[in-house]
Amino acid sequence: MLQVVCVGASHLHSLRHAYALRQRSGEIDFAFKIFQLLEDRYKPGYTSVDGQNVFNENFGIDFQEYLDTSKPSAVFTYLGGAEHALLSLTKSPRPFDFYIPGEDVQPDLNSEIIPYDLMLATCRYRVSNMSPWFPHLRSFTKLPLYQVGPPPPIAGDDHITLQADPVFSEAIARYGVAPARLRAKVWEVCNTAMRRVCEENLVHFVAPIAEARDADGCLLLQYRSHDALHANAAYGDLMLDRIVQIARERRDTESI
Amino acid sequence: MSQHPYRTLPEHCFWTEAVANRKRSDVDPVLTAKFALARDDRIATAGSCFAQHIARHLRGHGFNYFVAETAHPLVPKHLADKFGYGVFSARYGNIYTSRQLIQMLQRAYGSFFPVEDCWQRKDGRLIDPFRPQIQPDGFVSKAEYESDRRQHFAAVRRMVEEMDVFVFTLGLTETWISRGDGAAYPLCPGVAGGEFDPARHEFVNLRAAEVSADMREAFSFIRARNSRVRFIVTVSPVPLIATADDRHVLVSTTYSKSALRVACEELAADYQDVAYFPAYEVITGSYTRGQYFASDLRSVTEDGVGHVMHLFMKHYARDRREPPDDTASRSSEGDAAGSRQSQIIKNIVEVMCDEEALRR
Repeated sequence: MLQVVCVGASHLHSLRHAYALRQRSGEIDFAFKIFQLLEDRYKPGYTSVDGQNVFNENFGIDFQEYLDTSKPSAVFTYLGGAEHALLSLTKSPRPFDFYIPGEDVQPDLNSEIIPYDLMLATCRYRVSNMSPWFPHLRSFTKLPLYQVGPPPPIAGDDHITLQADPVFSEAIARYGVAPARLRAKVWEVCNTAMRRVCEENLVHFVAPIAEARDADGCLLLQYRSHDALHANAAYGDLMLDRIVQIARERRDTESI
Repeated sequence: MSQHPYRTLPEHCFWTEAVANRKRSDVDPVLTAKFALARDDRIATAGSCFAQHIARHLRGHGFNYFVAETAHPLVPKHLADKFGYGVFSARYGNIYTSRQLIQMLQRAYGSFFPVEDCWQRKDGRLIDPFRPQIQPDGFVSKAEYESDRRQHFAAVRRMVEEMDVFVFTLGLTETWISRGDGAAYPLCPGVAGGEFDPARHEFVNLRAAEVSADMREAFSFIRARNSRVRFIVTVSPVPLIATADDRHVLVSTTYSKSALRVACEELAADYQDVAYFPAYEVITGSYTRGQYFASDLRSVTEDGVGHVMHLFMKHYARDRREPPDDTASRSSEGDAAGSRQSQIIKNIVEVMCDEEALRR
């Protein structure tokens, strides 16, 4: 049976739920293992000691054991993915917007225009938190690594206001929810930054599901979860298809 | 014993007592400040590379350093620095010459529109000829370029109209200008953008009288919009890295600094609200035996900058407050809101961002 493994954090939930639903329906021809880094036994994921990253020992033991016994064809990661919300879920007291190269749509010129390069560098700074994981995972295996891009931002101001994590409450009450198109643009730039971080680490980037986006670029309502950041099992199902397809292709390539 | 004017002069008038026989750190050529800086005076800066040191120390020593063009609160500080925010009071980069200063003011207020005001790189990116290094890889489009410049000019206008003290460090007399309209570039076209074309660009080495005239025009321009502002002028002690005149760079450096120094002397003598601060003398005086220059004989050491700023504070900052936690002074409502947002982001990162939680 095809073995598929994914290491990540909160965005893993959509994949886990999708897989559970498939298991219940019996339509399953692969085994899906997740390493949920938010589990207590894997926290903290790593600490910096004298400038060196020291990773969680439990994770290392479990991951190595899995690799030895299950022989997957690739390692998927679903790291990060909250950066766009951090930067743009709520309106800013200094409203901002930015141009995207090659895009004709005019930003809100009543806002402060942040140069695109600076916006990209800012997103990259946030996204780069995940990059220490790549060399760490590579220390266990020579299998190709695939980082899954996070789902588009959630649509619906009311839903966000009601369902956002409590840490956003003060900012939402004070400033309101940021315009949908701006949130989608910030997500796009974060994805560009993530793609570049992946390229530099020789990690493949699995693009988010383009068909799951609405006209603003946010997540279609049928794919949003109960909160203000994550996608649901339906989205997870689409992404799981993509991941399994890649894993299968890798396995078939190796077997030739 | 015969009487003559030197008999009654104070100690600081005599080289042996005031310079040769003093410890290096005790040499103080300032004597008294022409005016004092009040606790809440908004101090703006502009000028050459050396002015960056002044700005940095003002921020770090409790002055109300006025930054009219701050990076958006979303931007981390190291990136804001890299993109030229907060280096000076607005994002104009180095202003090396008096000609650049007056033209920058005129451009900000819409009274000068240089013909050659945008350079396109081969990759399509756009460079601002008047601040060619402010955006490391240029602007992505003409629209972005123009938006950023509109914001920049608005910040310059705000700086002009709200500052209480303007510290300007004169760096060079040598400059490259447009033959078409006299627009002065901070760097020769072709060095950090654009293409040098002798038919369009010419070298000019300003004379002391021209520097003085430019500065008088700049003072007048600013006073017309802000009558309470006072000025402190300094001369950068940093030698020329290269001269475009066909002579030794040491000779050109001496000329350039001398002309700037003369202009400053005249300005300070003619205006009650213009003070000259002798940073140049503190760094280059022979009493230092060159110790305030790094091994390249150009860069000023931290010791040297420290001596300059010690004297600046001693004489100008009689009512100085202690350094704030956030060294970048933020005084407007917008910036206060920005700080609030920064704190909110920090809280969210600490509490919510799951990937951050992976790293303790």
